[in-house]
Amino acid sequence: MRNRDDRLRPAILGMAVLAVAGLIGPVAASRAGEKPELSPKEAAELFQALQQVRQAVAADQKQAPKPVEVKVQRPAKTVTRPTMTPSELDRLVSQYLTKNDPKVAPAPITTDVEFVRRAYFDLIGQPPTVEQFIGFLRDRSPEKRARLIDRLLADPGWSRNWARYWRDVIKFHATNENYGQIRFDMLEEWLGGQLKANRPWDEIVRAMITATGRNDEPGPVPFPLAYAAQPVEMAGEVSRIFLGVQIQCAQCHDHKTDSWKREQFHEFAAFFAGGQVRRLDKGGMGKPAVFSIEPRRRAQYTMPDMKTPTKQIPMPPRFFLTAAGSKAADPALPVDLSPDQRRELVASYITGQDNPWFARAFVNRTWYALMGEAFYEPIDDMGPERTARASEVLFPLADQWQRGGYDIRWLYRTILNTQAYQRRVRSTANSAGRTAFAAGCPSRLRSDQIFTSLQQALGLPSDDDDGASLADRQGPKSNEKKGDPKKASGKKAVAAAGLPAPAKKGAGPRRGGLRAAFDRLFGVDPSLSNDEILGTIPQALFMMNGQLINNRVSARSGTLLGQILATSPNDRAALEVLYLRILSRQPTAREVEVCGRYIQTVGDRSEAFEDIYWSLINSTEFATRR
Amino acid sequence: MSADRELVQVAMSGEGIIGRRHFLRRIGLGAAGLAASGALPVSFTDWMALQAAEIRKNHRACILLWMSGGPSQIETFDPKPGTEHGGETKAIATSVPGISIAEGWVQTAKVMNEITLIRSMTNKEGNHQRATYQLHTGYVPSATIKHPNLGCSVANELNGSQFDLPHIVSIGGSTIGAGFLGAALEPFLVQNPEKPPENTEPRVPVGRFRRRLKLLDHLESAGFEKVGGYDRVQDHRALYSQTSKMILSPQMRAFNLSEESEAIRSAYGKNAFGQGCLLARRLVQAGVTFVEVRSGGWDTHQQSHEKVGKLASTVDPAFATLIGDLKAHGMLDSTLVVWMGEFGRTPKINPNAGRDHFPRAFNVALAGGGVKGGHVIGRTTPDAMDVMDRPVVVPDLLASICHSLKIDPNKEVMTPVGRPIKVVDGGKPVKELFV
Repeated sequence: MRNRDDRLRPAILGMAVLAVAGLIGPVAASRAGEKPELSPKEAAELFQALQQVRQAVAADQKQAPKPVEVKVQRPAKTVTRPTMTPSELDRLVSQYLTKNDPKVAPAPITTDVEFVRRAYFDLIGQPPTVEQFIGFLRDRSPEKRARLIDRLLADPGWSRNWARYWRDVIKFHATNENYGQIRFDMLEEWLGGQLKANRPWDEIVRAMITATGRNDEPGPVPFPLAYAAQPVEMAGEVSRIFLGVQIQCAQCHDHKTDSWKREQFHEFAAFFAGGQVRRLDKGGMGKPAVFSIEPRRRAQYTMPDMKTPTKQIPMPPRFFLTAAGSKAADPALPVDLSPDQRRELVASYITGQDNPWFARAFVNRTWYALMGEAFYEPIDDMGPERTARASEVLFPLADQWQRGGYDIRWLYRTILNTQAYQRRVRSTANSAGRTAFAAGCPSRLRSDQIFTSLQQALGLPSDDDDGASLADRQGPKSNEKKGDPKKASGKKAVAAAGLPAPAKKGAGPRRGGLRAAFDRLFGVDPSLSNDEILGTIPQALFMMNGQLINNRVSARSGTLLGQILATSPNDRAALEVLYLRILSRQPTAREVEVCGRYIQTVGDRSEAFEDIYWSLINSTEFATRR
Repeated sequence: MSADRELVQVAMSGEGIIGRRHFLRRIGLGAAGLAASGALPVSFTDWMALQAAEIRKNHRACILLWMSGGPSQIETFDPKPGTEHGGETKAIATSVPGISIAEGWVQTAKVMNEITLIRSMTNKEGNHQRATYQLHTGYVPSATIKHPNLGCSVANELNGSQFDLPHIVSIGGSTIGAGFLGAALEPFLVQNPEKPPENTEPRVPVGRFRRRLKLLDHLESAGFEKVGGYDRVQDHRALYSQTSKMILSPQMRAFNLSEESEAIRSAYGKNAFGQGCLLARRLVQAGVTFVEVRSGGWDTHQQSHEKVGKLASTVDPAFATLIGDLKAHGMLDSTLVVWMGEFGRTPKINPNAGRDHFPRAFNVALAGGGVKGGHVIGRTTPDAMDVMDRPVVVPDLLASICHSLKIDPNKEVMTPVGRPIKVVDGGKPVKELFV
C-alpha cells in the first residue's frame, strides 16, 4: 500500500487541474499547495473528478499534439561587420547640433580626472581606487582613454555592473507576488556570464523569452518567473523592455493616443500562452523551494469580450510591429501552435533583424545610462508612434549595431570613445545646459554603484565574486567559521547599520547581506527618468544618521580616518586623501579654504575632519555620475 | 493644486528649474522648509503665507487597521453560533440592540453605536499578495503599472505642503507603496511604535548636527554646484532640507508615546498593535493624513477559534479605545477608521480546526469620518457561504473611503508615461454607510 502522501498527490493534482479549469474557486487553488487533509467522502469525490480529468486528458492526448507546421518564413540572421567609428558617430551628433542649436558650442572635453571616474562608474560600476586613479593620471600615452575603455570592458566588473542593471530593469516591474520564486540572484549571475562572454543581445533575449527549466541554477528562467508565466504580463513587459513599446495600454481598450488596437495586444499576448510555474521542491531547513517554468502541452489564449466580459474570444498569435510601422504585415498564425513554437516565433519577431525597434530600444537605453539623456524619453516609451530627438544619430547607430549582430561590447566601445561621451557635464544654470547632446548630463548613481562607492569610501569589506556573494548563494553553513568576514553581513549587521530588514519572508535575496539591505532602501527602477530620481527621505536619513556611516566616519585610532590623520603631514594632505577616496578628485582651492576655516572654527582637528568626512559622504556629488 | 504650492513653483521657475516635473510633490514634505532654509528665493511675507496654509484640506484623515493574513469573519463580526460552520464561536450582544458580534470583542461591542459593519464584502482574489495589493489600491496587480496605495492617493489629494512630518505612515510593517506617484508619497515606515523611527535621531549632538549640515551646504556651493552639478545639488539640498527639518521638528514629538498617560497607554494595550493605534491617533492629531496600523497572524489555517481569540485580545481593546479616544479628542467625525484584511476565511472548518482563504463573503468594520454607526450593511447566508443581499465589491469599499475623505474616486491622475489612472477603478460609494 502506498503511503498517504502518495495517495493524496493525485487528489491534489486533480484539484489543481480543476482549479485551473475554473471548476472550483481560487480558494481551492490557493489550498492546492498546502496539502489538504480529506475526508473519505471528499477523497472519493475528488478521485471521481480526477478520473474524469484523466479521461479528458487521455482523449486529448490521442488527438494531440501533432507539431503544427509553421508557414511563416523568418529571415536568418546575418552578420555584417559594423563600419561606424566613434568619429563618424561624433560627426552625426555634431550635424544634429549644428542643425538644431547652431549657436551653442558643445561642452569641452573632460579632464583626465573627470574622465577616469566616469569611465569606471559607467563600465564597472565603481569609482577608481586611489591607485587606479593615480596610475591613469600618470600614464602619458595619447591612447590611454581608449586603452582604459578596452581594459574595463574586459573586466569582470563590467559584466557584473550591467547584469545588475538589467536585473533591476526586470525586477522593478515583476508581478509574481511570490517574490522568492523569482531568484534574481540566479538571473544576475546568468546575465553576468552572458555579458562576459559577449553573447549577442538577440541571443540573450531569446533565451529569456523562451526560458524553461529550474530556478535554482544560474539561468534565464527568472525572467518568465518574474511574471509567473502570465501571458498578459509577459507580453506587456517584453514589449516595454526589449522594444520600448508600451502596447499594454491596449490590453483593455484601443490605445487612446496610439494606433494599437485591443486585438493587436491580445494577438501578441497569445505568443506567451501555454507556460506554467511548477514547484519542484518545497524546500525547508534553510533551503529555498525550487520552482520551474514548464510548457503546457498546448497553448490556448482568449481575449475577454468587451461587451460581455464572461465571453472569451480565442485569439491566434500575431506580431504587431513591422519595419514599416504599427500595422501587422504577417497573417495571424495557427491557433494550434505549441507553447514552444509560440515562444520561438515571438523571440524571432522581437529580435529579428527585420524589426528595427529591438536594436533602437537597446541603444536608446544604453545611451541614456551612459550619457544621462536619450533620444526617446521615457526610455521605455518609444516605437513608431513616437518621435525621437536626433533620430539621425540613433537610427544609423542602431542599424549598424543590428546588422553587426548585436555585439554589445562594440556598442559600448564605440560610444565611450566618442567626444560626445567624453564631454564635461553642464547644468541648466548654464543656458547651453539645456541643449540636448551638447554636454554630459549628471545623473544619480544606481544603488549598487553607491553601495560599492560607500565600501570604498568607508573602508568596508568588499563583497567581490569570491567573497560573500558567492558564499551567500550556497546557503547557510552549519559551522560558520569564527571571525569570518561574511558574518558582518548577517541580519544583526543589517539592523545595526540602520538598514531595513526584508519586508516579508522571501522578499528578495534571502542572504544578500548589507548590499541587499542597501538595495531595499536605495534601489530605483532604471527605466525611470533621471528627473524623477531625486532620492527619498529614508535614504537621506540613512546617509545622515545611519550607524554604519557614523561609526565609520569616526577618527578613533584604528579607523580609516584615524589612520589618514596620523599619517598625513598636514591638514591639506589629509584633505586630499579624503577627497580622492570619496570623490575621486582633489579639492578645489575654494573647498580647501572652506574646510580650513571649518577646522579652525571647530578647534578640534579630529572632530572637524569627522564632519568633513560626513559631509563628503552626504554630498550630492558622492551619489552622482558626472 | 493649492496656492502655496503654486507660489513656490513660480519662485522655482524664476530660479530656472523649469521642466522638473512634480518637483515639490516628489520631494514630499512641503515647501516651508525650502523657504526657511533659504534654498528658494521666497520673501518673508510669502513664507508667512506658507506657514499659515492649512495642513490638510478639509482636515480629513484615515486610520486603517490592517489584519494581515485575512481575518475570519465568523470569529469577528459575523458569527454563526450554533451552526456547523459557526464552530465553537459564540455571539455576544453589543451596545446596539439587534447587532451581535463574536465573543472576544467585548470592548468593540461597547462602541458598536459608532461602528458600521459591512458583512457582504465579496471578491475573487484568494492569494495573499494579490488581494493585499487589490484591497490597498483598488486594482489587481499588473506589470507595467504600479498602482499607488489608496493612502498615498489620499495624501496626494489632501495634503497641503506646509508640514514637517510625512503624509502617510505605516506602523508595524511596510505596506503597499506609492507606485507611480513616486518616492515622495511613499509611506513612511515605523517598525516599532515605542521607539523613534529608524535613523531619525542625529548621532551627534544637535548643535554639531546643524553645523555639519551647514558645512555640507558650503561645500556643495564651493564645489559641485559650480561645475555642472547645479540641478542635482538643488534637488539634493531640498531633500536634505526637508529631512533635517523633519527630524529637528517639534512635530516629531508626535512619535513620543511617553507623553501619554499610563491609563490611556494601558487602555490601548501594552503591545505593538495597541501602542501603534495610539501613535496613529497622535500622528493624525499632528496633521498626518493616512496611517496604517498592521496586525499580523490572521492567516489561521489551523486552530482558527483559538488563534483569532488571542488576536482579538490585542486588537479589540485597541480598536475600541481608538474610537473612544478619537471621539474624546473631537476627531472622530473627521477621522475614518477602517478595520479590514485582504479576504475572509472559509466557513467550512478544515481538519486542522482552521479556516482557509475565502474572498467570496467577508466583513469590514468602519467608524468615524461621517460613517453613521450602529448599523449593519449586507448579510451572509446562514452557512456563511454566500452574500445574501447588498454585495459590496472592493472598488465600492475604496470609493466609500474616498467619499468619507471627501475626495473624488473618479479623479484621473497621470502616470509618468502620461496614462490617466483613476484613484479608484469604478465602484460606487456605499451610501448607507453615511449619515
